[in-house]
Amino acid sequence: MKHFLRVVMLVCALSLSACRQSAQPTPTPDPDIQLEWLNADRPLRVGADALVFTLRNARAEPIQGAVIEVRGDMTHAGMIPVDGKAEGGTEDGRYVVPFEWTMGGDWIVTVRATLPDGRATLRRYDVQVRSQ
Amino acid sequence: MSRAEPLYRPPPDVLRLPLLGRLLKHRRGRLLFQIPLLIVAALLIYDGFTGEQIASRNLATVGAWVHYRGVVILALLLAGNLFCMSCPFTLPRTLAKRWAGRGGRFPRLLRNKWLAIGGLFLIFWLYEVTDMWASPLLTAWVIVAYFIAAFALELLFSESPFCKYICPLGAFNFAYSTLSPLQIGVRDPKTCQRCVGKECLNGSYSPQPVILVDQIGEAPPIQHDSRGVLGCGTLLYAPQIKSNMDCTLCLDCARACPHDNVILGVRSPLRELGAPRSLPRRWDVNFLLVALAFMGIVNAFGMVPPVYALLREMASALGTNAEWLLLLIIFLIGSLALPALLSIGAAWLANALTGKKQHPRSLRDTFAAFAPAFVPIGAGIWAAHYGFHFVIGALVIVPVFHNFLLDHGVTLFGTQVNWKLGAVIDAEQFAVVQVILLIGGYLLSLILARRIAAREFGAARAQLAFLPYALLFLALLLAAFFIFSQPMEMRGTPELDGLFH
Repeated sequence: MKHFLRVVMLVCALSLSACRQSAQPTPTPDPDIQLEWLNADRPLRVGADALVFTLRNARAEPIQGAVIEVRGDMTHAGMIPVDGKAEGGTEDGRYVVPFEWTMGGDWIVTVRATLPDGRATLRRYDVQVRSQ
Repeated sequence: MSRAEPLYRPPPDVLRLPLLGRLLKHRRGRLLFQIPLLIVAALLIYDGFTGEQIASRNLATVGAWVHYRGVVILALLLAGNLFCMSCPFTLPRTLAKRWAGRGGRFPRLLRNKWLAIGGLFLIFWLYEVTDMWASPLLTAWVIVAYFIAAFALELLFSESPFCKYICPLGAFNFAYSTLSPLQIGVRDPKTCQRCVGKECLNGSYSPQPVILVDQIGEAPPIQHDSRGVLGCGTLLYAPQIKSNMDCTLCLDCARACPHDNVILGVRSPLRELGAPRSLPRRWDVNFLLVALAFMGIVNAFGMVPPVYALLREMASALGTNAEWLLLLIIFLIGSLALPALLSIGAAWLANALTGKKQHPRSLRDTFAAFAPAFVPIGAGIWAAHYGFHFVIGALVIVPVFHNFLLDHGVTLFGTQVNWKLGAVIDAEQFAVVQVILLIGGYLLSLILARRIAAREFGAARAQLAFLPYALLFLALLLAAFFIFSQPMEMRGTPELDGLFH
């Protein structure tokens, strides 16, 4: 009986991991949507910032009316994530997301673009923010 | 002294407290503390392996690097070695002990703290090199490795070598529990002199009643359960305990004692560190105390901007970008070479300034005498560092756990995670607490060193013996101030690429 219970517990534990699903499902990257962070390659500093993204389709035509959501997570546990959002965009497909780097260090920036027709794409950037 | 006054007055005993005392001494008392931590460890492992691999959103990294570290130092300073008491790693270990029976003793050559010091060095270095704080998966593997190591060593050896000689967490806890206000002791030393079974050490798991030649009367009654109770896993004999070093606070001694003579006494936090020979005068034990204070500095240094400048300079001078090598050099120098050089140098200087040429004082004696004085300043440095992470991230566990529940379809607490929860108090406000912790630790170290100097060298020469240590503690304090006044930069990228742009 004891042996049986152990096996049941083990199976339950293993099946629990199979049941796991993400609270925020990751969209499949859509090859028709090109999301780019224009000002990623500059020195990033602690404080207020504006992140500029462009959104284009496969023919390099700008996409307007989308929503771009940015989530910044520090690589160190215990830090509060920072969110930013831009809607609509300009005629040339630019989206400016107001964002605040709250601490120096390494950040994981996850950018999610959702088009008016519901299609979405996701990109992840690893960046370093200097405190000085 | 009046005749009514006893020669030995036992300190107030926590085990005599109405509810807590009974709970702690209960046959399954330790298990009540271990099971919750075992469940937590299982959760951390599970989320580490299966959850989102972002440190600030995963239970493994938040639990291990924010909450465990913050709570453990707080518990050590306010109560005692509560983590070792509740250690979940020892649960499978107990199983191994039952399977293995009595194995051989741990090799004599390794029965010291050098392995633990090496383990601490290794884990702090690996923590930086692998950016362990940034990897839930790696953190989960470390927890699994702890379980395996504790189990395997218990399977092979009769004592508890993992706790006593190897576990880096245990070594840290042992070192700073020397500053804790609780300590195992005995109510009446004479009872222990008469005791034949020495169950506190040997355990009382014999199915046969232990024969006692001493007459202890009817009260307190001897209760030998046929299932028995283990004796001290780290082989400490209760009436001879003068230090918390090596005491896991498992309370098996109190449970095993047939005379109800073992107490968990309240003491002054500086009593042990200020008492002569409370710790053995061994290089390994005392170097552990010294090295941990320096490791606290180096560990905090890894997360402030000057480390970039140093890495850049070293990379340029040595012609290598291998971060593991550069960090190894920094850690070898900062955590091992500097503490050895400076503390032995201070001991030599104290001897040279005060010594008699005909009867030179041993370098080891002076080194070991002053080593306990490194504990308060070390504790202050660790508390300032780990306390910072804890206060700025303590409440993050709420949204992280909520997110974990949502991942498993549990919507009991709503479907929206409030990620704004984080700090208990503001990081800038905690800077004041950090200053208090650092200066408090420094002053206590000075007081201890002054007392030790007076005790070891006599009042006339105490100032001269004290001087090198006062300077060394001042240097440690200034280094800590420099590091903690820097803005935090939490690195997490494995390469140095970003440094050379």
